[in-house]
Amino acid sequence: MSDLSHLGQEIAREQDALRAASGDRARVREQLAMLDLEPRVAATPARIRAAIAFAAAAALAMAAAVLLFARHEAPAPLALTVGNSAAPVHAGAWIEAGRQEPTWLQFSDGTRVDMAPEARARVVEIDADGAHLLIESGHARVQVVPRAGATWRLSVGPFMVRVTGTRFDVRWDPERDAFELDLERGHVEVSGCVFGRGHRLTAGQAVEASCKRGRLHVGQRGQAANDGEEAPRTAAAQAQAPQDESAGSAARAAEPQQAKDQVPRVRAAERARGTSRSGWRALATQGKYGPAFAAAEAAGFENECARADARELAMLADAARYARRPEQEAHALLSLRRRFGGTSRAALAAFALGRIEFDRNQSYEEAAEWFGTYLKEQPGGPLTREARGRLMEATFRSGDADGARDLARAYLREYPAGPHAEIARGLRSGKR
Amino acid sequence: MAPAPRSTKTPLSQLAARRVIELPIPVSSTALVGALQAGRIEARKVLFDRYSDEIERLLYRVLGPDPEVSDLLQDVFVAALTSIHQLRDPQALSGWLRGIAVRKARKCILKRQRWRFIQLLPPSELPEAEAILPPAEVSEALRCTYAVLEQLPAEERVAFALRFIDGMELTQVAEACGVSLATIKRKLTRAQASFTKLAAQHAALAEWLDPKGEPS
Repeated sequence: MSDLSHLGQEIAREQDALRAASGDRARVREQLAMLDLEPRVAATPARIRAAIAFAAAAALAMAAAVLLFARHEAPAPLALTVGNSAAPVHAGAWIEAGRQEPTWLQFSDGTRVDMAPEARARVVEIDADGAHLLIESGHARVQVVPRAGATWRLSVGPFMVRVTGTRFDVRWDPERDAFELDLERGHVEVSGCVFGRGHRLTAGQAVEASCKRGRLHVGQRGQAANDGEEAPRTAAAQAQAPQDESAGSAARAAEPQQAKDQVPRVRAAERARGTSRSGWRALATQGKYGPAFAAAEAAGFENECARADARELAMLADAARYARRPEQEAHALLSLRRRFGGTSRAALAAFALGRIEFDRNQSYEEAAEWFGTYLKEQPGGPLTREARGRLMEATFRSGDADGARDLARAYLREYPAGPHAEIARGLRSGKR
Repeated sequence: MAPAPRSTKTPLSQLAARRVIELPIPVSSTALVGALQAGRIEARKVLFDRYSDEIERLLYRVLGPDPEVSDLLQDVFVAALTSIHQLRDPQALSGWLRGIAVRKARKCILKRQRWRFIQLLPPSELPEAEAILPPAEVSEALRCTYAVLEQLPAEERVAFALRFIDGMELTQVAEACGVSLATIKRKLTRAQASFTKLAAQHAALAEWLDPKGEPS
């Protein structure tokens, strides 16, 4: 073996030790699971046939997947059982209650979904924070145990219900295109079709909706549909709805014809909203930040920021940065800090804001403040060394040479060969 | 509507009324690619669990211990998942993924090289400098190896890293780089010569190499 190969082997050994200690793979795995990638979904009947065909190789494949999963030390997903059976149930499973016999899904964090007779559901995904369930038809009663960071989603026909900690009943009749949700405790957000970008329900409210009929009705639990008020809808949802949404029988009699007329507009509007809402996200995850930013801007950048979760806000900030729109980047980052303060993403946003102030605005005092904020909120975080170096430099450039010298000494103690070491040595010796 | 009643005892005759169909992903590449192309979400995790170690290792070899590796790792799998329909031969899944990883790494290197070329600030003031240098706790040999590799053209750097650090066979290096065996041999010859010459300037590396400046 040549000396180069010996050197290479030694380098490889050292790298593998670094890799093993980094935990990057577990983080990427988690992020990958959350990405909204373009699905390659076949038609439903074919999927069911394919699913049954795959069931023939169950034991060996599941054991291999579980072993590989365990080796990488990813956070363990919640365990799930169905009914009285102790056998674990995994993502991808179809569950059907008996004709006269109910069943239930029991998650290891205490969350429970009771399925009435003949109800059908599918477990789309399970992770440590929650699960994504699809209610194919029937009635389910959902009791989600509130936990920090819990994320639960129910796909119910064309609607999506997002839950953090709550108890509610949900029904879906695909033949009638009828969605009902009766919220006993907590709050949920329902989106899709007539709900537009999302409608928040609070405890005590009940909602009925139909995509085909363009109908949305929100009332109090226990009230008849006619007694409640129509929920305010987004402009897009209103554009789909029949002109007269009153609950009179004449209006109901006209619904089938109205529904036929409206279905193309409902679906087209929903597709348009879906494209503009999820389009920037898909583009951003593919690294096409310029088009992603354009799409987000077309949908209303500030509106998208107001609706985005922490991960999406970070993506919007990235898109704005690559599109060289520092004001929008700062807006996304500040939104992230305001709405998700205390999270690691909020801390990283502080670092990014420091870079904007330093690199673009030459506002060194503000930059120093942001880098200091990052260090306070995420001591020992992944950007600690960079933040300390930047803080030192920003402190110097803002006119505080003594403060910068102290920071330089501390920096060199920790990072004698770090990227800011040369600057630090200059500051320490007073030659800068 | 009243909640569904909970039953604590279930006669055996009624157990058949409940159906739970497990949908596992079989071991073979063909089955996994089929599941991915059919859009099965759980197949993503299986793909990642099976190949992420290899891909991360490859990225480390080419880029070194670089903070961008985790982003690139995600980029590789996003690219794979969004273009899985382009994979005609499922048996080539592993090589296909390596090819994506090499292209992503090469693009990253080229982007940095272009950026440095037009940047007039001294290296210590480059805003992205901290993303390029390895962490303080790595050995001098590792640090110097990648300091030298950064001076090589991207194609030669990638070929060198895959051959001499990862220990890939020549045919595998050629496949990952998307070139012929003859081409990769030429690139490697140039890369070896350049690396050896530049490495002589670093004490931590010179001790590994032949005193005459040629690999033995």
